[in-house]
Amino acid sequence: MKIFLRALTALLVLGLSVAHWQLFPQFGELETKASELQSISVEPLPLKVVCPGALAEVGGESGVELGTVEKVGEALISSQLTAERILVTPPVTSVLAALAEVGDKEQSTNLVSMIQTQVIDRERAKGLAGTFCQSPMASGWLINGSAVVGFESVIIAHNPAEVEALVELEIHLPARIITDRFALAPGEEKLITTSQYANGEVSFAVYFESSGPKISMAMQNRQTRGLTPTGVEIEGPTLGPDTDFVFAGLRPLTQGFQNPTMRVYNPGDEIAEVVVTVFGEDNVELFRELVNPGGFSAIELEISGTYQLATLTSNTEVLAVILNPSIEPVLDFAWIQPAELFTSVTLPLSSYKNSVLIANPSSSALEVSLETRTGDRLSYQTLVIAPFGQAAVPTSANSIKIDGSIEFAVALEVLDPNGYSVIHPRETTNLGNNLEIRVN
Amino acid sequence: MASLTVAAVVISRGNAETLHQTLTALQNQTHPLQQVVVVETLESEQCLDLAKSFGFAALMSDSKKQGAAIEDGIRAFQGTPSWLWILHHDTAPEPEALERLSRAAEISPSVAVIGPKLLDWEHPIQIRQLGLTTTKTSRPFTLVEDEYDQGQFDSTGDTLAVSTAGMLVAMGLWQNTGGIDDSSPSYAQDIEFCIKARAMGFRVIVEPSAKVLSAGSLTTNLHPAKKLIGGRAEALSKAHTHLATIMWPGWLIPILYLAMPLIAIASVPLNLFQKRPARIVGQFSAWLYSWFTISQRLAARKRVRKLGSLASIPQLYATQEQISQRRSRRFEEEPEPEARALGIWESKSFWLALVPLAAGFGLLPQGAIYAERLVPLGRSWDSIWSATAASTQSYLDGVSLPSDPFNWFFTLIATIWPGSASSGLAWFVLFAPALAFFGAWLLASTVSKSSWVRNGVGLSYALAAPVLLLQRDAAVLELVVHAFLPWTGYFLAKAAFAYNLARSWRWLGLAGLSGALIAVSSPVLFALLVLVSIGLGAQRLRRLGVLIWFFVPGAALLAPWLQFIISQQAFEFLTVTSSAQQGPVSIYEQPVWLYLLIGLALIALVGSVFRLGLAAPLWVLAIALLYASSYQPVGGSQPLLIALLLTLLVLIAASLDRLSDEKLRITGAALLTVSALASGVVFGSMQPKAFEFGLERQVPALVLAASDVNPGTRTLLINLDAQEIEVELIWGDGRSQDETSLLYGFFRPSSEIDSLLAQLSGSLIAGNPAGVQELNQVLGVDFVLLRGSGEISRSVAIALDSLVILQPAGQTSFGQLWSFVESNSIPTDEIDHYPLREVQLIVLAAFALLALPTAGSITGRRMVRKTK
Repeated sequence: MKIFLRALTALLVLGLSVAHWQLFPQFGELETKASELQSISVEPLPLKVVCPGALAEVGGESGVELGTVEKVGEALISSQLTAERILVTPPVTSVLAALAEVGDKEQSTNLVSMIQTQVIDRERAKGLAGTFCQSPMASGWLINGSAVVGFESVIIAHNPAEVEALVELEIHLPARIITDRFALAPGEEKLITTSQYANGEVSFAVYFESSGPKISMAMQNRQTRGLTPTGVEIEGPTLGPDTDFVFAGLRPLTQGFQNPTMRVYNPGDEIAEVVVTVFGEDNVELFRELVNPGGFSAIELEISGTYQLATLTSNTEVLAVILNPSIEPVLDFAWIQPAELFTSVTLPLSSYKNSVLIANPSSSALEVSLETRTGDRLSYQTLVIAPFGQAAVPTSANSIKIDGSIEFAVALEVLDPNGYSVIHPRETTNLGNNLEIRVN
Repeated sequence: MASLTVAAVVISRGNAETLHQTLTALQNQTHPLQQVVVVETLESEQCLDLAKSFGFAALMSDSKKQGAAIEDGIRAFQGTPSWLWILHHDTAPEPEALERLSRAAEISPSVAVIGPKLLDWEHPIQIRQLGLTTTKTSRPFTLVEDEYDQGQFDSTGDTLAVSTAGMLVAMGLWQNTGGIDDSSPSYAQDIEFCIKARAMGFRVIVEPSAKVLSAGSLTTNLHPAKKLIGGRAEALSKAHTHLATIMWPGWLIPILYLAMPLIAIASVPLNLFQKRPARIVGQFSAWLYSWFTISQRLAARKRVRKLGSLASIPQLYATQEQISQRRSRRFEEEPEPEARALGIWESKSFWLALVPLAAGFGLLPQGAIYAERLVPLGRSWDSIWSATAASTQSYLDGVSLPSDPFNWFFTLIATIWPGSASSGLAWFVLFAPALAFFGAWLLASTVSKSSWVRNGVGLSYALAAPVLLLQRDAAVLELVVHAFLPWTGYFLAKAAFAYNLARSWRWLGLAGLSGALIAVSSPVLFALLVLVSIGLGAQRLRRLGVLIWFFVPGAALLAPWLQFIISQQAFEFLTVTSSAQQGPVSIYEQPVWLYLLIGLALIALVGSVFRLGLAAPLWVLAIALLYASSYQPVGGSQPLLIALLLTLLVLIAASLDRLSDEKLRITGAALLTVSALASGVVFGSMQPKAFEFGLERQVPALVLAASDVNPGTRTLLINLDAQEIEVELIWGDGRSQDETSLLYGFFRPSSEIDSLLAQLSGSLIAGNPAGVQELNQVLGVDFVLLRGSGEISRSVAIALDSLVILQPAGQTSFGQLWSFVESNSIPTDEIDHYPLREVQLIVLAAFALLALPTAGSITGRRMVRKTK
């Protein structure tokens, strides 16, 4: 009897346990009641965009004054403003930083958009430098630093606000980070040579942060080979660290003598595995690179043909930019920064030979409508761009507005016998319109 | 031989067996009895026939009351005897009893009432009674009780009263006093009658040489205490007030009656401390009885005092020495068991508690804990207490929701660490497994005598891998269950198997308090524990009356929670009690639980079939815990899995204890210990902690200072760390863990404040001052705290800087702070508390009093009368 009872107990326990496993592995989980998102629209602060102004020459106007850095020449400002309330009208040319300020509610590049271009032809500097005039920023990255023989980088800092800004700089060198700080009085512009921080470094990046108002920052590059100047460029802050980038406006211009080079910086703590894909007309090129934490990598993109769309994916967040040299039709170079994705963008055009590059980084076709403005005259055009394709729209209009069915990347290539530059529009908006706020 | 004429009245209560012995004893008396009348009060024909078979007169009384029955007997006498001998059906006199009583009556003509020495019916060597008296407050007092008869009390002497059982009373006195007054409380009737005799100038004595065996109660044989409504305590209390009414000076009577409620209330803590909770009910009912029958008490006083002076009576009161002696005699040392297992201190096993502490390497408190579901507690005991058993939450414009029941534990922590409750909580996280070790060791000691087994079980429980991981997550609620569940089980087992009532009540007090901690952690587990307590009571019926009160503290603390759940029909919240609780887990998705429980279950199953009596109910419990752990829609799975782990370990302990081969037992226990130590290393000290230590305050110092001045200080937190912009209005010194409501996440009402807050936040984020002041007139925000990093956060900071209505207050460890230059101070509503919070406190205090040790409940003494 005892044996029977024992066996029965054991069987019952086992049976009930197995039944639990089969029948009640887990009940559903009750979710908490999430608070609703509230859509709020308030008028944002007036929108400012700032151009860095003319190029600076180390050594002063004469080029031989030690310790002197001076602006040389004037930058041409191209702007497109549709704002009803223009608080500060931008100049046509400017030596110092140029400011535009508008006060409308719905802010974007369609409200105010500016670029600057400058052709320089001097003994030690020659070429075309162009950049998109961005909104002032509280922090950002400049990745196009270089301070070796033949390469010179100068930081142009400007405080467009009415209060003083304290700027902290982090110079990210391959082996270490150097920090510095300086104050910018209201309206003050500072030209900072980077050789004091990064002398002998082929690549370096700069992170800046203002602990006051937003500031405008840019970095200009000058290249020489021997005594021959081989190009100038000026670039605003690039997109922040990310794992995915799209590059529009890439095309080989050296006939195989010097390939475009992608500079990748890994600001994180883990090794970044970077894969660069270049979508040519008939083929797709893949480039893979491992980038050490805090390290730079230069990926040579062996490509040929015409305009090509490039993408970068990484397992950790990185910064990237492409240095694209040009030999024909002009000896110059351009930095191709990662493109911001838009569904609508307005881009003023330069007085030089412009090509608007519209890239479709998605796997579905992109339909874009173009509205070009020449004086008061508007003209319209519609394009369909294949997946991972890129269209070049040569134009001599004053500005172009592009509306896409899906997100697209855009770049403005200025390629002229005077020089070569690629300009990347950045969205310009202050917080306020269509805010989504969750009240907990 | 004495020449008195004596007639006896025997009061029968339908028990023919004892009546037969009594009548036989009467028949054998050496002193002649003029006649014997048997009065049957319970209409037993069998008893009547029995009496007639002895040749005695027998009659059926209309009344069941003692006085009336005796009167019926007297009326049946043929002739009038000079003395009346009153016997009960279960009082069998020895053959010479009446002769010795009669001789005593003859020797002293002033003696009118004589009582015999009452001996125990089954143990005639034990004295049950040798005269009655009262204390100075008129509480009935038995002079000699439960003493072995060694002749030490054999001296004839005056006493205030004697029991009617075996009482020899002068017939004249009986007739003049009117006999026993049935309107008086049962326990006072004998004493009252003797007081009348004293008032009339007669003496009342005890004649120890006259021995009568008695099977009845101590004070009156007619109404056994257990049959009295309200029990013996109530009967004694009624007799006490009745006798006090008779004997106290007249001017004290009004004071006595007015003070009765106060006395009843004031004696509650004392009775609880003395582990005599039954007395509380008795005293309250006696108070009500006395109030509602005051006219009868006063009439009795008048009748007694009419007979003569009571001036001589106080010298017969029980002396303080007698009272002390009786109190001390009630206990005697318990004989030591021959083979007693070593306790946790004697076996030096307590040193093993250092092992769980070592497994907590890296958890040494360095401030308040910030974990996934845990933020610091309130800054003071007051603030935590105000959030305990609250009915409303101070969110938005006030929400009517009960606070988390687990806040009671936080209050306990704050009581122990009043200066820094959050640090106290961090210390608890470190010490919880060590506490669990002690509890599990003691629980194992209830089923195993082997120190090896106890050590193995204690360490296996304290160092179980999933529990150590919970410790690394700072899962406070689960750790409370882990630490206190074995203690609760141990206390319940001790309460059930304690050998005296006082000890049982004390263990129950401890079980109730630790059970309350389980209740506020896991109501489902608490419900199962209540069933376990009832099961234990069923196993030990004598302790069922104690064990059924186990649920009271836990139920009291859960009451507001249960009330809300029932009103909302939201029964899933029976499975959870705190926002600090870990989410539900399925053991099939948690290998660390699954493999551990399967392994232990298989060992327990193999071992426990050899000890089915204990194992079967434990397996029922284990299966119930397994199934209950599945239905945890909000959280709370792991407390039940912890309980399952403990149940399996107890089963293993019982199985190992059963092994006859000691080597095998030690090997099994050693294997348990080694695996536990390995678990402690791998899942304890080698694991990183998943929480951080930080500041105890949750808001910047400036906000804290402002909230000290104005508790209604409001801070608008704009959090940009999340993917969306999240805003929150923080009251006072921040939302501490105790102020975080679990129910709010599920039952949050929509509020106008939501949209106003969003609008204000939008304006601030945009740096647009339009309408901000107007909105803030309604919202009363004093500070803006911006949390986040990155470009958007800096943009918002710049926007806030641009507003002249805000004054920058600097960067803090909580974010960037601004204060409104002008703010509209809006007074906050007081938090409403559960209306019966005081009752909850009273219940806890009552159980705390029960838990306090007394000589009779802790030092291993046994009541003498229980040794029979």
